[in-house]
Amino acid sequence: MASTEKPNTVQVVDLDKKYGQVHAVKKISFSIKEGEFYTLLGPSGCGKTTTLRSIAGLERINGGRIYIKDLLVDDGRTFVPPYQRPIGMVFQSYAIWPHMTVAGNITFPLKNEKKKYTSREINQKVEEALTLVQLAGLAKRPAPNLSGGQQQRLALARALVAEPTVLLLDEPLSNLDAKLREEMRLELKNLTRRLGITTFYVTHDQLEALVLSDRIGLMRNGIIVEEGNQYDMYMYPKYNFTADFFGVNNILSGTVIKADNQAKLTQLDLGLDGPVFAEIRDVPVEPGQKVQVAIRPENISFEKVNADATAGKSPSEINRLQGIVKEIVFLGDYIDYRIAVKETLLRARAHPEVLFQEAEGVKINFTPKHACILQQL
Amino acid sequence: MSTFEAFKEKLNKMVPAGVSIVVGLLVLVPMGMLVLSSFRTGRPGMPGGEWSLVNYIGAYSDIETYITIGRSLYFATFVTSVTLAIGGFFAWLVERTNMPGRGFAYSMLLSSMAIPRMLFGIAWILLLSPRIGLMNHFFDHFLGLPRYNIYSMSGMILIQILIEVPTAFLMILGTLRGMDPALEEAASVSRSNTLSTLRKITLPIMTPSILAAAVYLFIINIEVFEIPGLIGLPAGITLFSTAIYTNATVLVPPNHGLANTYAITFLLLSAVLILLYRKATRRSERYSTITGKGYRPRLIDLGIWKYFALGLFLFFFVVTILLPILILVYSSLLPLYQIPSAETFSRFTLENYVEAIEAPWMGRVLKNTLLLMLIAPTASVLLAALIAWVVHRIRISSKWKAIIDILSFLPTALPSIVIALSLLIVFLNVRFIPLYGTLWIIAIAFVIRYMPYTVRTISAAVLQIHKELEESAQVCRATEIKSFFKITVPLVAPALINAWIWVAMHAARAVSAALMLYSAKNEVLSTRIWIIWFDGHVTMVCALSVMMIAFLLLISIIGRIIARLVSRR
Repeated sequence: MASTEKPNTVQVVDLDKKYGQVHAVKKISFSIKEGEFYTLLGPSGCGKTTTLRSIAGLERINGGRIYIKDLLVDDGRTFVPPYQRPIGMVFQSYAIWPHMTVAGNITFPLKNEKKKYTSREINQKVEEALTLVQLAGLAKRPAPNLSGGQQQRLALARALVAEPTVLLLDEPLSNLDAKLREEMRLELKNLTRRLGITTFYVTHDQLEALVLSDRIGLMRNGIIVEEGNQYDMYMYPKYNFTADFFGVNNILSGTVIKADNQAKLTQLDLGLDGPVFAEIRDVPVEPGQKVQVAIRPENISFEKVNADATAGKSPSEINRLQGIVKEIVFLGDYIDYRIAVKETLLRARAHPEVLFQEAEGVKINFTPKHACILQQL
Repeated sequence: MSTFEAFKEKLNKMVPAGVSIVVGLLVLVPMGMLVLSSFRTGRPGMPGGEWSLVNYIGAYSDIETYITIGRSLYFATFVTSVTLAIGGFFAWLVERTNMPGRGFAYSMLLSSMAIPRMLFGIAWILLLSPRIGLMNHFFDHFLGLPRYNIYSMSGMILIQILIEVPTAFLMILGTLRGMDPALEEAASVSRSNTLSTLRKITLPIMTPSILAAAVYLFIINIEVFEIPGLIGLPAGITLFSTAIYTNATVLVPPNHGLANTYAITFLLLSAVLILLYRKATRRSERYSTITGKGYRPRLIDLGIWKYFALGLFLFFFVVTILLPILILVYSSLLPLYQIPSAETFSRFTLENYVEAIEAPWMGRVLKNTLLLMLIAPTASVLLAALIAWVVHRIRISSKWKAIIDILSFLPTALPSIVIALSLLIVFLNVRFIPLYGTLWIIAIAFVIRYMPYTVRTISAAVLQIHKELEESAQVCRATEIKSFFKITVPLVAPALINAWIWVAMHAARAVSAALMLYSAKNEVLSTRIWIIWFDGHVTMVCALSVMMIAFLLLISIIGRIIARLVSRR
């Protein structure tokens, strides 16, 4: 990727943070390249917000180092307070100051800067910032008179107006309703790409992370479990936690029968009605080894048992299994089928037009590439 | 970094330390001095005297001490239980029934709190004194009943009850308002009638809060000075507060040793009560009933009884508020106090007012009063705001926070008269700080006494301001102190103003501390009224009282308007 040549804007080395007995962040390291959109994703209490607040300087770290553009901002001894860091931040609650107007909120960071702006410059900057977030013309409004979505935009404008080196976003979309959230998600993506600003984003919502990020760090219990681009992490999870977090419902346990680490293919016994072939990626396996395998429900294709063999998609020669439909859940944009293969229930997803009856026999099929061997955590 | 920046940086770090030192000095030094000097003979600040237990032996070998303790407990218990019953009943009527005129009833009880206890006491003496009491005259001449003697234990209890009902009313009202109406509604759809809901749901849920209110009222009633001073002292019935006052300032030469041991006993007693209070309020937090639902509960239909309830309120209003004010106004217009008759009305004159305004001491007293009403609340509110900020917003160790928190709560156990006595001892000993006999020493007493209230009020307001509002200011390049003053202070301004007015009003009306620390230089309106009263110039006292009430009502109305304007902005 081209971004590898770019310099780091944020570098976090061995960040460690404790609250009394609670070890919130355990020596994590990562870096964000210039112009990159990096997301820390994880369940609540995993330490992602603590990490963001440490970068902002709202928490002091117990160990490790944080750099913003080669400037050491915190190493447990040296500490640059938040008001001297080149950052902009959007808070989960937006933190719009209710006793000020829209313009008052936006000019606040400008007036605290060392550089003194003329009132004309300030007005111009306010207009620019408001136009950027599509709030032009609302400068004189008292801030509490804005709707939730507008307050969100205002918070973004306030974070951007002083042209920070890094933009920090702490679950900014979680207080919006579903429709607005989807809209803002795209808008945020377009805005950050257009400005090319380095962005650090924290969320528990996998969809937000997938839509927005260049790179995702998945966090659990104070450590980053897996890091990578969103496509690989979604399609080919390396760890059972990653697979589970991104909503893979079929995680099967079994044993390795044969392994060909050269051809990157292995044959597994997963207790289904035949062996399952899976691709070997980074970590080699050997016969007799216990493994877990993740298969995304949308990667399982299936057809009626009595169907013409030539109908439908062309199935691969291997990983062909037979089962019985046990349960049908209609979810609108797709149908979720629970299919029993011997003792195991597999979930498979199909277009709402693909109709099966309960207790009907089906043939199911998936490619070895889509059976991901997981490492345990 | 420029030197100015470095200074700002330092200031950020110095504030928590500074606040802790100030609070520590204010609370611990007077208390420490009090304890230390209770083990010394001789007069404070004078040469001579040695370490000894003689003060304690003297006090506790005297039966009078035990009688005083017993009497004070009896007084406080009686007053507390009756005020709670009446105040609670009134609160229930106003908050939960369809009694007509509920708004009027509420504001009438609220505004009666602006009238100083001392002036109520004076008015009631004019109404119920066996010799000149107007009501007694009425009982005697028109009903043929025996005259009631207000100069008695029952007199003190009666008047104190009438004065404290509004306090109890407000406390219970707050609890009732905070309660989730759904809890009661759930009971009524479970086939429970009004009475059994009240008994089985409302009261049990409210028990911790009622207990907390009871302890709070009990502390007020055990430290109260005005009524025991006005009624008890002439009748020869001493309570705790008046015993300290008499021994420390009235007797010649003063018996500081005895006053001191009384104060320590007082202190221990209220410390126990405070522990009870903390326990009760902790439990009430567990029962936390506030849900923030924006709907009011269905009002209970009293039927025809609602007019009876309103009548009760009107009766209470006429007897306990209107009548005392009328008698003050009436006697202020007479050259010499007399029972009303057609003839007395023809003698009405404004002479008392003219004389009061033209009195040589008036300028000084007025200046002192206004100055005190400015210094005490400003210092109190500033200190409380800083305490709230340090405790809730600054990154310092939680132990340190807990210490500041406890120190600022401690004065709840310090009755005004005890604070005044300890300040007296401190500044008699520490002569190089020349505060003895100045207005400042009274202001310090008030700052200490009202610290728990101001800190609690302002902390509650600060806690309601989302922390992220301040953090976002810091991210927007504002220092911690700047974020506090630019963001948090404007947002909690209504609470600051309310606390300011509360302290100002109390500073103007409270008499005990000012009287203990009295000198010719620091005389204020309340002490002047007290002294003229005991000199026997009844009509002049009434003129001053009327002016004071008018002034305080004006201040409280202006204050409420300002607070409303600020919070609406």
